[in-house]
Amino acid sequence: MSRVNWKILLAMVVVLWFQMGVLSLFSFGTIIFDFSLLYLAFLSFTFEYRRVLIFAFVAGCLKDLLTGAFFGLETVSLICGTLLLRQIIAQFDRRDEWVQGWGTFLFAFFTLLVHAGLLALVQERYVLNVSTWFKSVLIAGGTSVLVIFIFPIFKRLLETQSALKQYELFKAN
Amino acid sequence: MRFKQFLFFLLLILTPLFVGIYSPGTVRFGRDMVFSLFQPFLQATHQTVSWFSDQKNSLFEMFQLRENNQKLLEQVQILKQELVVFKEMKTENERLKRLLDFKQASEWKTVSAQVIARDLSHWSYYVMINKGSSDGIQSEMPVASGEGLVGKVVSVAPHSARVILLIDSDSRVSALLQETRDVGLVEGMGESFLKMTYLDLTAQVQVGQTVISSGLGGVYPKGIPIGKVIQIGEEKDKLSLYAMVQPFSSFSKLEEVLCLKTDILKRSKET
Repeated sequence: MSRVNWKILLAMVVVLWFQMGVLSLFSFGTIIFDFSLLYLAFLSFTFEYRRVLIFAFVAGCLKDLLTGAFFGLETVSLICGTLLLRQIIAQFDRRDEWVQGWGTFLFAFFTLLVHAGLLALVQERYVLNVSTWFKSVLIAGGTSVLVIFIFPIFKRLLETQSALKQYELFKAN
Repeated sequence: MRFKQFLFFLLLILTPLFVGIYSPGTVRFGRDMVFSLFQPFLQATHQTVSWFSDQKNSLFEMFQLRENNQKLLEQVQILKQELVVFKEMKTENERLKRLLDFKQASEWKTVSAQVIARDLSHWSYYVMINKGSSDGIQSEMPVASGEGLVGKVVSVAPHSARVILLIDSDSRVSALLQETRDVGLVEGMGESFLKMTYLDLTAQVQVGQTVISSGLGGVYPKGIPIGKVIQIGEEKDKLSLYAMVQPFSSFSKLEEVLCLKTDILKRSKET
């Protein structure tokens, strides 16, 4: 495994530790910003999608191991979310901050909904209702607002350049 | 080729789900191992964050010391008066118990623990505590806070344990209404509120009544406060009533909890 991949993996573990141990202390009721989603969104905007899918799988497995919920749901929902974000990135300019902001929002919102939907399938008494949508919007909204502050930190942490497609090199500003 | 790739990819995504369904033992082992690895870091983080939080709080409290002192003095006066009444009630209670030949329930032994991490998932409600099997924590042990019932231990590692909270949609407690003794089942819904179901149609349930654990079901001992009724309704099948319950414990702000070593647990281990 290359040095960059190790870095990505290590940063992922740090992000999960931060999410579990620190960020949960600053929750608003049951609403907590999700740094793991933010990190995966950053990886999607920075790296080629096959690599991101592998890391989404690893992050999902790690999250599944660290939660008490039904095993496997995090992995499936994170990969579904990453595939959606890949479609968005393919259509728009990945370096645009607005694209990064609402792309992260859609990614987080979709991932949370997929997870809630799967949970409703495997857990009889869990019901999807208005509060599920409302909570998803709040978490996704809060998480996407953090893009402006956190993406530069991730960038500095991983010391990476955005993966540009060939045609993007010739794009006008 | 493309189809084969797609199949491989799909299989890879679904592998964790299959593992979760068909091999819960492997999942439990994996989770215990990962938790044991994370536990020292989470414990250290918790202590550091708590220290900073304490410093911040004491700084803010300095400005309100005089006002708080006055309020506390007033409260002490009220509590002193209440204490006299309670002492009298306690004596009366003991006398009546002796009269009824009431077998006094054995006292619960407790193990206090700190919440060092919360669940990563936004749809399930678990917390991780800093006490494990080496401290006498066992699976299925009821967990309470100063306010009321919190949940139960679901998995134990040597120095940490995972607790499922009452609000998780996988939680269920047999409960009764303190005032009317109507029995029902308190269920988590994955939200901030609980739902008390299977209440008899003739149950005298009212908003504001207190819900406590009934002791039926074999996990939670009798008499632990759960919450307060805030709404009442009739089930769709019109065969029973339900009540929405506002829990006493503030689950998003849990810091310290008590794990209860009860007789129920001892008995279930023996059988």
